[in-house]
Amino acid sequence: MTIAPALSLRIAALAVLLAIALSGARAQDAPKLTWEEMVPAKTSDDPLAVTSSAPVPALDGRTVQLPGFIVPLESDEGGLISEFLLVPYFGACIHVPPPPPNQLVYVTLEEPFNLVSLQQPYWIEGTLQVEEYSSEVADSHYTMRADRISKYNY
Amino acid sequence: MRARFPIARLALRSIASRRISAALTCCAVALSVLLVLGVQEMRESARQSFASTISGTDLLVGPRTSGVNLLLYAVFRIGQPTNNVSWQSYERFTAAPDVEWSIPLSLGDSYRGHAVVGTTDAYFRHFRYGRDRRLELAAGRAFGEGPEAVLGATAARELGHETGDDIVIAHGLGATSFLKHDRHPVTVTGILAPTGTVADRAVYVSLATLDSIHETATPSFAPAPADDHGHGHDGHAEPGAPAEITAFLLGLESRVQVLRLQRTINEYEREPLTAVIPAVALFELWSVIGVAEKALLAVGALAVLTGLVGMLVAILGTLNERRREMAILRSVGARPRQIFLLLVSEAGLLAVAGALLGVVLKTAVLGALASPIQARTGILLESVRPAMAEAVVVAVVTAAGLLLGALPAWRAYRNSLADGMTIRL
Repeated sequence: MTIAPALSLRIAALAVLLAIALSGARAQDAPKLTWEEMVPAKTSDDPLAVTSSAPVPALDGRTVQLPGFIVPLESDEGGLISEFLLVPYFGACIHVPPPPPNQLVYVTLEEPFNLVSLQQPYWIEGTLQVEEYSSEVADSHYTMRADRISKYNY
Repeated sequence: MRARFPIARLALRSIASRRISAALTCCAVALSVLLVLGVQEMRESARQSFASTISGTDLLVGPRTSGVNLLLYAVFRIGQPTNNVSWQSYERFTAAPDVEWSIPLSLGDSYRGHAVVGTTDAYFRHFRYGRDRRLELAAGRAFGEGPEAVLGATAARELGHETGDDIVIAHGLGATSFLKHDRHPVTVTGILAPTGTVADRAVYVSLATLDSIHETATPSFAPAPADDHGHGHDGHAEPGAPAEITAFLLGLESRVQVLRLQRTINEYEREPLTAVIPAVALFELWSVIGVAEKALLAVGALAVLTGLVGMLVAILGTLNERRREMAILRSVGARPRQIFLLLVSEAGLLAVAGALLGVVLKTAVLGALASPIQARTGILLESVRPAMAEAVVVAVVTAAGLLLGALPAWRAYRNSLADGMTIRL
């Protein structure tokens, strides 16, 4: 099982090109989602109608890119973040009431990443899921298994 | 190719002929490498140790204070608690919807310099460290209702206790206390397996045991709990519940609820409380420490540069006295290029020897310091990727040495050309 060096080099080059092409295609493919789209549309025109805190079922299984701030929940031995909550505004935990369940995403990562700063927003790409969960105060919410994380540039 | 080999040998011989100055130069480089590697390794170990201490806990709740402070004293046992949390508040939030488990922590006592942690058996069932790892008992069982204690691995080893031994807990922190209560010995029922975290250094007793120690020690002036009807989420009644605890840990059924519960606790009107997500507080701690770490690393890098510049000075200083040597080398057929190579390889050899000596020194020094450091801070000096960092530092120092060596080498090269033409010597 020996491949001529030139051939193996060519295969490697092809693989790299393919990987670049695929990653490029994926970056284009995942549509950008806004936080507003994660709230169900109002059923009535009544301005006083309470906006729902439930997730939009149609978003289940969609691969999207979502920008937001990171609230770390779990880190590994090296201090890299492996689980976090993605929220639409910074300081979601201190100054103002926490976002409703449909305005936060529970994200788990295959590979822990190095969070630079709590103030730094990120683009998170992955497949959204609507997780059924019922308790006295909350029902279903969004979860995501992140595939790609990149810094958000203003 | 035969021509290259003599140069390396010549370089070695040349260094050997000036062994004292060469050894000192080597030492300067070695010490600087020791500094940079030592700082790097301590930093990695400290980070690893801190990051491993707590896992799987959603909220850490204590009296009103800063999140980092609460994390430091309640989890890492660095510093002193400023205030306590009432037992009612603990019961109130343990019974909150979405709360899956809770661990009360009562700190402030010691046994021969080891922190005594008053808690419940929930600690052994729910506390996680590292990457979601449970605490395990290496011997015996968790404490029960009676005056019983469980020792962390380090505490047991240092104190020389085994299961079945009786210990007497003193009031207050510190290695010695003169308020000891021999009337109430506590029996060791279990010893935890090592975790590499601060959990190894503690002595764990039930809240009731801790309370009975306090009551017999000094008369308690704390008022009895106003409403003593509420009980834990698990449904088991706590006999002799304490009036106050230092802090408590909460685990939620769904981590998505953490922000909501945190808000509720922080806004609790009956008692000023602070709830923090441990990962967030840890991250804030890193942001603060990160600046100091970077400064230390910069100092280390500058020290390496100083060591290398010292080497450069040493080599440059000898150039004049070595004019005759160079001239002789030229006269026996050495080309100017070879003179250049000779000096570059001398610099390279000194740098590589210094760097390797630095690695050896670092291993020796940290090896010697490991156990006192672990004894004092609970930080296990065991870096994540030591071989990698060391290889990088050795490579960088060698490359920098070769690069800096080019300066005297170039001068010698020029001199050897000129000296061949003049009859000054």
